[in-house]
Amino acid sequence: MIPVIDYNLKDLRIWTPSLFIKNIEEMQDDDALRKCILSIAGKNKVRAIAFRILFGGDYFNKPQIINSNFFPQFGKLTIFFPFYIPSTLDMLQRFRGAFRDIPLIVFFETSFFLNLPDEEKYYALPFEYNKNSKIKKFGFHGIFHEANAGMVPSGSRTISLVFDKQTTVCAIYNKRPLSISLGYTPLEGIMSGRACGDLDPGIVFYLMNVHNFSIYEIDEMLKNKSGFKGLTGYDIELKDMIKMRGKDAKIDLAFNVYESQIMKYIGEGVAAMGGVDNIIIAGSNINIVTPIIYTLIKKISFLGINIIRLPWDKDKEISNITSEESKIKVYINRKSLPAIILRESEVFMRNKNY
Amino acid sequence: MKELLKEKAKGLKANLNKFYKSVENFKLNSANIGEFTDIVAAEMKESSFNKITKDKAGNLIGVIEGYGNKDAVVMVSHIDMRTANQQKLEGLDANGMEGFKSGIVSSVYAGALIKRTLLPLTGDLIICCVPRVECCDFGIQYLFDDFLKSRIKKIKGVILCEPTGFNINLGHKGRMEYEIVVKGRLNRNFLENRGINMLGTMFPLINELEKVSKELPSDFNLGRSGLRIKDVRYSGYQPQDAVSEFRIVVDRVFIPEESESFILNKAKTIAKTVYKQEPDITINTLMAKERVKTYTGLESVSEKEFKPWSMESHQPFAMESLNTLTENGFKSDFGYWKKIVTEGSYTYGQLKIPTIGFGAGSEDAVSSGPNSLTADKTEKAGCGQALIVLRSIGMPTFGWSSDEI
Repeated sequence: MIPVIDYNLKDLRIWTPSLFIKNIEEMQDDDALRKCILSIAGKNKVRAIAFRILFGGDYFNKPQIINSNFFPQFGKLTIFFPFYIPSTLDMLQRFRGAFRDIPLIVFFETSFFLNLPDEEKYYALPFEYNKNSKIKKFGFHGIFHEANAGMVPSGSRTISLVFDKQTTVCAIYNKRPLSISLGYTPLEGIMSGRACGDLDPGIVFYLMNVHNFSIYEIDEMLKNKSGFKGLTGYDIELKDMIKMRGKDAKIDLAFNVYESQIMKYIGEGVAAMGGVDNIIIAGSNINIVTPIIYTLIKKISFLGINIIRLPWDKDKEISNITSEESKIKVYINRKSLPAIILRESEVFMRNKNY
Repeated sequence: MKELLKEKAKGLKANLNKFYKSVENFKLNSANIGEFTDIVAAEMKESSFNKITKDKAGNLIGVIEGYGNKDAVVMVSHIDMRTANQQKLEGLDANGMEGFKSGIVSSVYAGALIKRTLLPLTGDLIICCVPRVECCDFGIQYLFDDFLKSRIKKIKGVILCEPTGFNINLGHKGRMEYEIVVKGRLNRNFLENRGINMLGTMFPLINELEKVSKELPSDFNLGRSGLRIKDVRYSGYQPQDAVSEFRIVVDRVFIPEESESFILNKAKTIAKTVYKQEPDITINTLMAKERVKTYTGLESVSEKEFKPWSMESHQPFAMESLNTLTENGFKSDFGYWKKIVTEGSYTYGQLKIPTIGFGAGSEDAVSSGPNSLTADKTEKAGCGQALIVLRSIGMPTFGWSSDEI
């Protein structure tokens, strides 16, 4: 078996096809960590451990086996993501200490986008900042988008949507990304529960000037006090907010802005590819945002989409939600992120002869 | 940031309480200060400080290394102690001057918290416990002349972990001890019109100093200067003695507008005015000195003086520190110590390194017992100090620190 580890700063989650465990962060030593994983595996042999890593910067364009060369390279990313990289490095080193005898495979959420074309990758800033400070689009949800790209034949033009805590839209042509909504940081792109999404930079300076915000206060506002929370004033989860749609003007406005931003990126993607053959939708929030997905697809039905009515089949891992005569096919990919990582790990192991 | 610190602080709570108890229960005196610093050093080691060392003056230094090694922030707490004799007289359980312990615990805790969060620093965090040797700033001087000598220019700021009631303190009055020495010969009718009783000869000067003490200048932030006659000594009170001499020892509290030389000259002028009718006397004023011997065996002679200091509130290190506290829920403001003196006398008063004070409790806590502050308040102070450090030399965490990924 191959347990999948998903680590963010708040908790460490272990996933196997039959089990999901949260918060083993307080485990102090390598022995305890080893015992925990082995007890989860039970009678099954642990063949490898796979990790979902949020950020791989410029260095990691594909899954990696953790070896002694990995750590110094990964440590160099600290400057981009100081909240995450050092603690993740520490966690990976602990796993490496506990499991020297099996492969540890890391999957990065940003690897897929190292192939972005230059015109999508760079911002129109003085070039020395792009080059020296490595300011460019890193993207996100690469694991989901790459899995979606793998579902269609080469040469297809695909819009891939991922509905997770963040929502991202990626245009994929010939299995390569041509555009992605999320940018240098998760502040760019589509608004989320608490983050602002796309913004005119002039607004930042205006707010700082008029309201005397420090850079730290403005950073906090944009990443934790904006989005749905900011527009509605309600600090509630998306699943609860969506139930109040149509009953509260502020909530209606927030969802309208949200949908409009998604539409903008779908349009950008279609334009970048000169058309679209498939739309594939994935992510952990699919069930929550099903009515939004329906509305969005309805709005772009002029492209030649004939969507079937709700409710859709929730049991199939991959379901086609368009009718047979639809020119553009729309699929819902209900595979979970750990399941995708698990499958990719098997492929990786096979290719590397483990 | 506060949320992350809170999260990580949970796992440290038990350690903090244990450390706090062991420090609180330690009956510190000049004979066992080495053992005391060993306890603090052990806690630094437990918290994975990158470097722990003691210098020859007995300063304990713990370093948390940053990535860039560019700037540094220095946190300073002090160690007060009674002499072993004092402790014997006052009883083992007397609290003495043990309120300083909260500052030591909070500074080590702040370091442990930063280590535990694994939030990277761009420069080094240097946490120092400085034993106060008598009434002078010998310990902190040695620290900056020795361990920190090569990096003085890279120090972005100093945080004094002293009680400030969670405010940012920016200075205090200075304190110096000086002597007025009056010499003459009794057998040549020394001070004859005032009587040959030495005490009687001193009274006019003592009286004049008392008068002067009521008219001393004042500073808007720091308050009024003060003068107290601490001691009088005399020698050669028999007519056959070659020289008769008396000394008045003055404990002087002063504001930055009054320089030491100004104070000494003024004292001399007062004495000359009092004894202007006495032709054969000499009057001198001099700064009191004392022989310092640290527990590590280092000996030196040091002037008994703490310089006054008052840093502008618009100094960036002070502003940023206050901003980070208020943004994270502290109800802090700028303030000044009215009663105590700190190592800021040297770090800002002498070296002009931006210096602030931040800690739990009122300044009265320093001279009270260790129980005057709770572990909770000390923990809160440690969190505040960690926030100040992270704002100052923490790696910026914009954008990607979003909760939304």
